[in-house]
Amino acid sequence: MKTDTHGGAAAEGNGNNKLEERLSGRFAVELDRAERDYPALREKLAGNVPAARGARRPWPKIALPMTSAAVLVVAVLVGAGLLFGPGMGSVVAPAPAASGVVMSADGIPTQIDGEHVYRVTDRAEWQNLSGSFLLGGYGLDFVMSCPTWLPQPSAEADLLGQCGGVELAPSANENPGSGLLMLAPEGSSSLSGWLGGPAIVVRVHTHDPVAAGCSVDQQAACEAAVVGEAVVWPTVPTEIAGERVYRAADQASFPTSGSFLLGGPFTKPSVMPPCPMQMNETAAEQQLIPYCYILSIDGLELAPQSNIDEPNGEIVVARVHIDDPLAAQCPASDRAQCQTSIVVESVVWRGAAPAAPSPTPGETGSPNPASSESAGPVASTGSGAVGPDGVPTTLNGATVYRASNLPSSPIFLLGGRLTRDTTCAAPATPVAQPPACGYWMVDGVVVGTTIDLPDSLLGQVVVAQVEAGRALAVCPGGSCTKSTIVVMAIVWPEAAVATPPAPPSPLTP
Amino acid sequence: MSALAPTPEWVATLHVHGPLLLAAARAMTRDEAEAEDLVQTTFERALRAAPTIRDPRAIRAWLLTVQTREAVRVVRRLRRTLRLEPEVHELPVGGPGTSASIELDEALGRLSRPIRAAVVLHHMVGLSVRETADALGVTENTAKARLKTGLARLRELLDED
Repeated sequence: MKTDTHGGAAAEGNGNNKLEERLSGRFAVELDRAERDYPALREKLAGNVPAARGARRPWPKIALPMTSAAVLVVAVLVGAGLLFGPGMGSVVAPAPAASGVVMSADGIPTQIDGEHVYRVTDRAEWQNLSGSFLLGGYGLDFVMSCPTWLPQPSAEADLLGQCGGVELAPSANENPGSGLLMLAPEGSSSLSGWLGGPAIVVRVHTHDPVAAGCSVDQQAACEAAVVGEAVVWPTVPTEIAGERVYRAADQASFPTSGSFLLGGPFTKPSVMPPCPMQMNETAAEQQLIPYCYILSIDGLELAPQSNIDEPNGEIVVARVHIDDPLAAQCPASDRAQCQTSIVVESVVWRGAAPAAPSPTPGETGSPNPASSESAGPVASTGSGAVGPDGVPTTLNGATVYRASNLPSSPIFLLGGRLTRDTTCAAPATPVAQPPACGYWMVDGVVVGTTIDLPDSLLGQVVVAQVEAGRALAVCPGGSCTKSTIVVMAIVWPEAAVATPPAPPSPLTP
Repeated sequence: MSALAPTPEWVATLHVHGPLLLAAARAMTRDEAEAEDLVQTTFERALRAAPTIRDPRAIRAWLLTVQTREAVRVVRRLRRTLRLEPEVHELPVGGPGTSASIELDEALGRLSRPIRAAVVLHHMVGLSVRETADALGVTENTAKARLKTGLARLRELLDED
């Protein structure tokens, strides 16, 4: 079945030819099987595939991109870790005050240096503006970009995000793809490090000159397309003490020797599940290849051995390096990944995480958004109403769902009593093991879990952050049963929240 | 070349490629449910993107591109939450295969997903190196390197000379 004649793989000799024949023959068998099986799948598709973007996926999936998880957790764990303790690196420059920024209660500025910041929902006010203007919101990553080689008018490809891309949402607890403002692919890359992170203000424009190249029937849509130019708030230094601060967009030109400065928003999971042991990776891989507990700066994932522990959403500049000496100890198959792994040596500058939404509407004149606010690491009982059976109905504004009203959202809070289905045998390893027959239940709903649920919680009322969808089950020696709801964290009561694992100790190269 | 709208004809066009997508998804993911999810996601994207696809000849490669990127994206997402041990998580592509095909399936399953995807797209589905590179979002040289690595590893696993 292989048709290419100019590929390098085709010239690898007779051994490869024989193998290629086996592969081709194997796929022919697989294709026959798919031909037989496809009609049944087609029936599902015919009845379920949505015809327009924004419709809900009929089949549950394990999760939306982690950006959405982060967004939800931001909503749940308001203000998580906005305070930071003594840093690991020396801070050589203080965070400059964001002068001229007028904050709103929703955590997004309403004015920057006298310029009005529009909201996504104010479309009637901004859609006919000429020139650029400021839009505030939360950046979300919705599916993928169109392949660049796709034959189509480039103007329409640049302006109409038909294949998904970057969305701007009015609040942090929106799901990607739920009818938010889709930014034109042109310029979207400038937001890449901010997706799923803190509130941002973006300079945008409509009526882009490129629209002139659109076909007549797409002209109006092209004119109305919102093109992002740059994130203007929060700000990231461009240099510190005369040294350039690189951004994710500069990745191709990162220095390969010595260290350099990397700036942007720092992100980390708001929930830290215990990470199972890595059995097959070498020590070097474990230190260099991001795994399980992913940290990033400006959207770039960091090596696990990185020396950084900042609040989520903090704007930082860190001294980093790539091509760490440890990379030489990685197996050949992973060496390239090890060599490009970004290792943080120290944090040299900290900005301020944007303010968490305030429960009281109104504006404040804070010039420096909330660098020292904190609502604690988890929601508390005081932040939401409690129902008659002792189960919170909301936590920091997020609805706590019950067995009787499970939402269609892929990620949500589930409240109720934690029990066991005693008809099932206990799994050998509870962590990261969705149950074969419903070992754990929350409010009577069978759940799997990615965390170790302590026996002390049995019978207690809890609120769990869960992901609805299909989970790949651990099934040693047997077929897998798919769990439909998986507990990612217990977010209430506070005492139930697992202590974050200590970062791995660096190895000596 | 005229624009294709998400009409019944467009949907029918997509279904023509359905078995190929399903077979490729199974080979890439080695998980039946994930493969079906991938096909469905690919269809969703294809329906949304219909107005932007002007060349029907590009549809097959484009669909495989969408599916491949989603496959890589999904596993990356899963790595963030659950540790996937291929030996225990992945279901055999299976069917009433011979021991030789089972052996080949097992060897494929031991390749890393990016390398497996390259091998599946080029050596099994029949995409050119260029199309394979596009689908994976990498350069042609990188795709060639992955193919070379993939074949070498398979030969080693299958104990072939």
